[in-house]
Amino acid sequence: MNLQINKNILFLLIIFLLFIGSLDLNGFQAGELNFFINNKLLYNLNNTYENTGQFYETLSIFANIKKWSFNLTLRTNNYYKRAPNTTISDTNFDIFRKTIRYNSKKLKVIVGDLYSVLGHGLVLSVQKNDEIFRERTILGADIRYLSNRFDLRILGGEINDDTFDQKWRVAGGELDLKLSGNSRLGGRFSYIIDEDTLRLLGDRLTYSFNIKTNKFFSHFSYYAEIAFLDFVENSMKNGHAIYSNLTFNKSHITMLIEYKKYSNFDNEMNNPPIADKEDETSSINDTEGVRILFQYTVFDPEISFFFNIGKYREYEDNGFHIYGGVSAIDVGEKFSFNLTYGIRNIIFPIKKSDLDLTWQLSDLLSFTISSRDKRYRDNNFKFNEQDYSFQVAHAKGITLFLSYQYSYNKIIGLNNFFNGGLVLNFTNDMEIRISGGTIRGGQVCSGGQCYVLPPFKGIKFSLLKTFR
Amino acid sequence: MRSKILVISIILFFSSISPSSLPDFSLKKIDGTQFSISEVLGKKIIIIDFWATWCKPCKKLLKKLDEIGREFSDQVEVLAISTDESSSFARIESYIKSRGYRFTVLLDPDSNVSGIFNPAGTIPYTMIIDLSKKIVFTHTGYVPGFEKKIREKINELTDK
Repeated sequence: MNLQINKNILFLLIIFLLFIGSLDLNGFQAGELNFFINNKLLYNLNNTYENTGQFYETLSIFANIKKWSFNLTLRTNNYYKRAPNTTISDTNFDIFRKTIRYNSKKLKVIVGDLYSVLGHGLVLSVQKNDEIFRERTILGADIRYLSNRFDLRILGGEINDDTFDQKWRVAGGELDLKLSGNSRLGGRFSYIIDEDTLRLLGDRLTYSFNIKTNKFFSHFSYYAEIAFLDFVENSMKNGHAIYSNLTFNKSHITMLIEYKKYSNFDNEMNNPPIADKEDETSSINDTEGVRILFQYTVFDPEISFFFNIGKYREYEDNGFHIYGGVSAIDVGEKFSFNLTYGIRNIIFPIKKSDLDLTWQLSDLLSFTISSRDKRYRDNNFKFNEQDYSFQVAHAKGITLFLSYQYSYNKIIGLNNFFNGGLVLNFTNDMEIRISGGTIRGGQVCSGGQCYVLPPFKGIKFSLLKTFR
Repeated sequence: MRSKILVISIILFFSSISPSSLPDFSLKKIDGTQFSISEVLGKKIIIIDFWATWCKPCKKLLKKLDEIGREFSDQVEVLAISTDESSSFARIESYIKSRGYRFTVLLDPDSNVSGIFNPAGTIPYTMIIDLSKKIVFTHTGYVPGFEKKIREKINELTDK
């Protein structure tokens, strides 16, 4: 159902929500029926993608009575208009999410719109990815049975992609057996039916087996999963994957070793571990890697040193990464900082550094400065990204932030991004955030908050209110 | 027009009643075992924190929540719900173990819990649930000193 957003309605909504937010409403229970409402109103005056005046409003209502609960998220927006190649209409008003849940000690059932991840994501991972505008859900059912000896899960439904007009159906399941000695043995599968007219991948079956042990030899834990991908209909070469990790922890020392090997393993709905310290993209069709992360931490104040080294192969390219750094919280009860430096040389060489320093002037007042530098250079191509931000915050009221981002790319050229704003938190349960300028996009932390967002240019106003 | 009236009516209706208590839910811990909130709901004051390994303010808040959890260990249970993707499970485990944090870490990779309580997805997001299972405090973000607000709320609840 579509309708044009009326600016008067928007204005009334803002006034109404501000009014409600200012009230100190006392708790109310109708028998055992309870409500929880989370509201986000976002208005963007955005010049990116030539789309001004974006409006986004979600109202999430959660109600529960005894073992049953209901969740309804209403959404009205023209937010996704800016997404390139999108197929949905400019303006929407819809029921974005609807779920009914049954929750007892042994049986958990969700019917409606749901995300779903099986195991470590090798077999199935249907979820949203804000950075690339992808909102993918399953409209179906997810049933879990938990017992003292095993956990059983089955799910199925239709996979919907909010921004791309493509359909799949999925059936999946997982069995997790509890062994002696705090160990677990698991198996899972997903069967994806490709309903696209082109059917490039066709139907495919992915299945895996894993073992997880905790506290063996008192200080170790271990996880290993082996997976297989069968393309049922076409002649594509079937895939396989191995992922494992070993964690050692004793006193001040922690060590993590990760190993991965993926071959033809992209089923379009999976997201295997990348076994890398950073979230750099990595193909899962032909890659192998191992990394070791060593951490030494002293407590009170918390100061942690880390060193991370990895060796990788991606298709025909071999490479490595090395990262090291230190993070500290509450040194002298006044300073917190984080300093990281790393070199990553897989397919192309990248140098990265990260600095974050907070000075706490009093119990409530603090200054934070941070910088990030990421640069890549070889004979034919180079880019450089730098971020600098400054923040002054009073924990019981207002946070001001300023950021400057610089990007140089040999092909696209130079880009400067300036952004600033404030967050008002005078009362609990309600937050007003006003910001303006340009943002490169991606994972962003400002004003003490982190979120993932696409590139932006303009003004943002957001009101977040929880009714409880 | 009917759609607009419907939206505003729903907002008005639910806003006018404005209550809540925490429903039961269960998630996996980092050791793979299931944890049901009913194990502590109504028995202790619960602090729930939604966080991720890539979020620096979240990490600072975790340290403060660990201190609060230790200080009020008989009365308060801290649950740190990670919203990291499943591909980051190993990273979560090593981060928590290296810091020696004692609170319970839960995994919500498919956002089936955080999607209800924090649909905006901004982290860190903190909730406090009192002994009558009511959500009595919610807050988005962390700046130094915010822990003072949490302590005040905990003191207020434990003095009752």
